[in-house]
Amino acid sequence: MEFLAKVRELYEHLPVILLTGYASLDSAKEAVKLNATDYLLKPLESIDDLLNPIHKAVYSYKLLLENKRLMDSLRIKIKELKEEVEFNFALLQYNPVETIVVDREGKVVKTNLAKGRSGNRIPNIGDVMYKDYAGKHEIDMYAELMECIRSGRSKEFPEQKYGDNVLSITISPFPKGAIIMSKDITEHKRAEEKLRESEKKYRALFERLKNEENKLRKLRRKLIRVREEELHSLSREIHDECGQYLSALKIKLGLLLHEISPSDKRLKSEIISTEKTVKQLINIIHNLSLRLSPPELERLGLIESISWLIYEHEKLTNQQCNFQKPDTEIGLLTEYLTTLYRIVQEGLTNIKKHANAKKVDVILQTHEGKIRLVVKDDGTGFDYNHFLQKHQPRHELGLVGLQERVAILDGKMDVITAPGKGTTIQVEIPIPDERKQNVKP
Amino acid sequence: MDKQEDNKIKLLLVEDDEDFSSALTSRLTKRNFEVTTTISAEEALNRLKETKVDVVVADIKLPGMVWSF
Repeated sequence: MEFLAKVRELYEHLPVILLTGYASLDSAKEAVKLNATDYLLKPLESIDDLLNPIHKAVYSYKLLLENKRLMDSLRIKIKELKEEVEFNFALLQYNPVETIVVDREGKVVKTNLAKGRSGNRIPNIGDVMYKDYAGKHEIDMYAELMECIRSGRSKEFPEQKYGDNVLSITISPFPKGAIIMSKDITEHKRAEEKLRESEKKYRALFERLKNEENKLRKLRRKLIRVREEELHSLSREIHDECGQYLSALKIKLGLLLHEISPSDKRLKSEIISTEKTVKQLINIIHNLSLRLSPPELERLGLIESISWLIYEHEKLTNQQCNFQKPDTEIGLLTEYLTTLYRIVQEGLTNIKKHANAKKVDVILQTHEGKIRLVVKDDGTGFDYNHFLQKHQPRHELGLVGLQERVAILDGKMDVITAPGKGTTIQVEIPIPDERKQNVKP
Repeated sequence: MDKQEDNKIKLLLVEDDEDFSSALTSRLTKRNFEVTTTISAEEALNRLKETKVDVVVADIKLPGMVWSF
């Protein structure tokens, strides 16, 4: 390929000046037509003949290059701007928040798709916001909008009533007007309201339940007290009535013994044996009466009453019994005293009947506003779960019944036992503030 | 790069008449041109690929300049 065409192909605008003699003038003219920049006739008269066209060509060339460079950078700038416009357009049009752009007079300039999607009427361009469009607000939103634009400060209306709906509106001013964003939060508010209502309902229900529980507990306490009173009067009756007759019987047998002939040995030994049985019966009645009803705990005191129980237990069993007790008596409501007494009584009775123990420990102490009671033996122990299954229904003064009594007093009673491991009854009851009152409501 | 150097007009001269070529080169150099001389169209094309050139001055009589003779 010839030089000129090749140069044009590679360097489109590079100036090429042809030198030509008169002989080839036509071909030079032809060459210019074919993209040469200029031609000069040889021989040159002076160097200036060459310089002027060269300068002209180079100047044009540089201008062209500069122009091209500027055009290129302009093209890039335009592309960038176009992208930015597209992104800004997306920011407005595809934003899920309903958005309206107004000018400084509050006239609608632009809205986004959300405004159309929401099913409401779309404002016309040029509508005055809150006058021609969305005019049903409770407060003068137009005045608010104007104030925002005037002050340049944005304002939020987080819960704005609009007809039956609730909107959350934000007005953000910018130098040429303001952007108004609104979100329909009606459903959200309704759900919130529902939640609050059901919460209220549940709280009321909870309170009622708590009241019922309290009532139930009071009733249960009363029941226990009544039962204790019944047991007490029953115990007295047995003690007084039976005791009286048995004592009389004993005296009569004594008298009889004096009256019979000394020779009637058989009858005499019968009477002595009967007298013995009556004595035993008196003892049994006495113990039964005590088992049915504790002694007068308020008068005797809890420590004294438990000490007596332990003394009796030692006398009957020959087991070594250790009582660790506080220095002074504990003043408590009768039902507390009765419960604690009953636990020691039941514990010792069980030990006597089943445990085959050598050593028994009873510990009573007050610690950090709580009463702690422990009844512990080194006897055979038992399977407590098996015991629980076997002993339904519950017996009022048995372990389970006592556990319920302790629970009513907000306390806790644990029975720690296993076959061959002894038994420990462990009780903790908080001391109530009214412990000194000791009154029966 | 030297500023003076940069201001020079870079001229590629394509001319097989060596007398004319050297006379022109010396004059142009005095007038602040940076002249590269070649004697054929083919060589000129190679030079264009290697260096930056502001203007080409070429003798039309050289073979391969405008069309093939």
